[in-house]
Amino acid sequence: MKNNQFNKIQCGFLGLLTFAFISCSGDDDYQEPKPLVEVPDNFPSFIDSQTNPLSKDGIALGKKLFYDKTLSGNNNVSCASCHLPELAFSDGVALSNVGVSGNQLHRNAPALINLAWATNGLFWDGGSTNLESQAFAPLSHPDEMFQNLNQLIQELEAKTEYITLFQKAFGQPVSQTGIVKALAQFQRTLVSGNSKYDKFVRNEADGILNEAELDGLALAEQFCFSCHQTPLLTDNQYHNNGLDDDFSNTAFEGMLQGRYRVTNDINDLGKFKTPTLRNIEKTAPYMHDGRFSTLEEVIDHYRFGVKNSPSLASQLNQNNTLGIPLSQTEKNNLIAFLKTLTDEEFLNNPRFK
Amino acid sequence: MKTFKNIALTLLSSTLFFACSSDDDNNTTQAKANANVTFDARVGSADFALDTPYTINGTSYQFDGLRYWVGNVEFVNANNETVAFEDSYFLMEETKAVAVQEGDFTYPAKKRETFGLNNLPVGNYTKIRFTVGVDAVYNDNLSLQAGELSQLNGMTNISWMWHTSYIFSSLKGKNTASNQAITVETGLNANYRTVEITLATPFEVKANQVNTLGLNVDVAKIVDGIDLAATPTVSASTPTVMSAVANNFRDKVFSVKSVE
Repeated sequence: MKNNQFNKIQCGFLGLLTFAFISCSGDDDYQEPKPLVEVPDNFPSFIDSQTNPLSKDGIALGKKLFYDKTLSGNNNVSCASCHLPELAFSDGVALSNVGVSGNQLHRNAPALINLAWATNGLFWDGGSTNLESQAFAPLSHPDEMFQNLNQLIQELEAKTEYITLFQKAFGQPVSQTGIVKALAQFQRTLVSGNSKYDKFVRNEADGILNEAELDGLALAEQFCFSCHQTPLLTDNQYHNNGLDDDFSNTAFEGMLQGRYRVTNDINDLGKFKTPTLRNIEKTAPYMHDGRFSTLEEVIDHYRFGVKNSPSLASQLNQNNTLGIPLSQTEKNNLIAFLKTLTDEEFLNNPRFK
Repeated sequence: MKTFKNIALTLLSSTLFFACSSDDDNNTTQAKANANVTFDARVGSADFALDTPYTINGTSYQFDGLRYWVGNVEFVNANNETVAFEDSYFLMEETKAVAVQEGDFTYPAKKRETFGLNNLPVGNYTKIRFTVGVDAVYNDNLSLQAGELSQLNGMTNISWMWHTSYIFSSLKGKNTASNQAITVETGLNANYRTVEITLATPFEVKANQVNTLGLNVDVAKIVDGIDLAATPTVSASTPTVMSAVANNFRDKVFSVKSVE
């Protein structure tokens, strides 16, 4: 009751302020502000966080934190240690061991691409609900950054520029929640949608696919896009793509059981999140555990290696035939198409470095 | 809480912006008092203490810690009017030191059984409601914080952080005879529960006095109907048992001890 009234009053003030601004600003020196995030025309509209909306200062702080090794317990690991911009924010190794403990992780570091639209869970099993909450896991895990979250505040405050940057971004002192909010804002700006394929879709001048690439696109439409849905080239869903057929190993808190670990639903055994195909040329090795080193190996898995189990994606078991039938030429053409999804502007974007 | 903090500002503002306001605001003149709510942990009729053997369902257990979130406290008066302390979260606990972030730092041993509420309107209350756990708004987003919610008190550990959720309740100890460790935890939105307790003797809140509502917390009831020999670790991987524990918190664990 009183809250409503309070909100109305705030609205009253805002209305007043808006009026005051309008009455004293001239049109002649008005410049369209540079957008905080550039969204391609062939994308769905940008989904901002209602509780952590983008701001210029929040993004800038997030970028600085993303590359700052102070965020790890031994001050040797930053987010960028496993999320390199030139590899579409993946790390190029199957299972990293660059964390504080030196232990090998159990899952492949995912690329960070178009995460603003990744609203159906993060991590390979979707266990994390949003980018803000997600950040606490790598920050605190002994095999990753193993940062004492209490101490981190003192360490950042010791670098006095951070005191100013947190004030500018959030109007508050350095805080754990400010850290994860800023990191989330920066990550939501990592939009990739300027590949040759995108330019082809948008009928832009340099968006020309050759014959092999066009054939590969047709094959992708037939066999890949049901899960790797356009335009994001992921459906943000979880599927068992036939990598394994035995999910009885409960080791590492169920890490090997896929989405089942989160839902405890046997239909989710062996299901992992569909990764985007965008920049796939740069994000080897592939799959949740990095078991395939090359795109050739990935496609050969779908041709010859699919294993059957009750939760297998139905697309991979059509007419009692496992996998996707592709000739050697078709495989080559599909790979040619997949390479049109490389977005050099994204990989080299100075705003992200 | 927010509601009450804003009163002064609202009063001031309603004078200035009278024309904008459509809500009647006759409650602001009502007298307010402070109230304490005490959660007295027990095992049956015995007081709960750490490292002390208790027989529960015929088996002897001793405990290292009991911790749980109480939130969204509401009082209901005889006219069925509700006073809500929105977004209030209190960590109730009696625990040994807790290794946080796999031992990166330590949350100290603590016993805390009481929380205080300011600005409870004077009156006679016949019900108290509160939640055990954390509302989905906060449970799904660890960057939003209210009340005492924090990542730093060991109620979100590593394995839970891979699966966004606070730990709603935690009871840790061991089977005294076999030394089998037991961990009974609840968490995840599906296990968020609202407790409603009817006060046979109304809680009479008066100005200028300490008003205290005392509740019993029966630890034996937390594991009522749970086979701890079969399931010594109740966690996200035992969803049915976890849900049963959450129901115990809702239905059996809390009762009225005293109304002062």
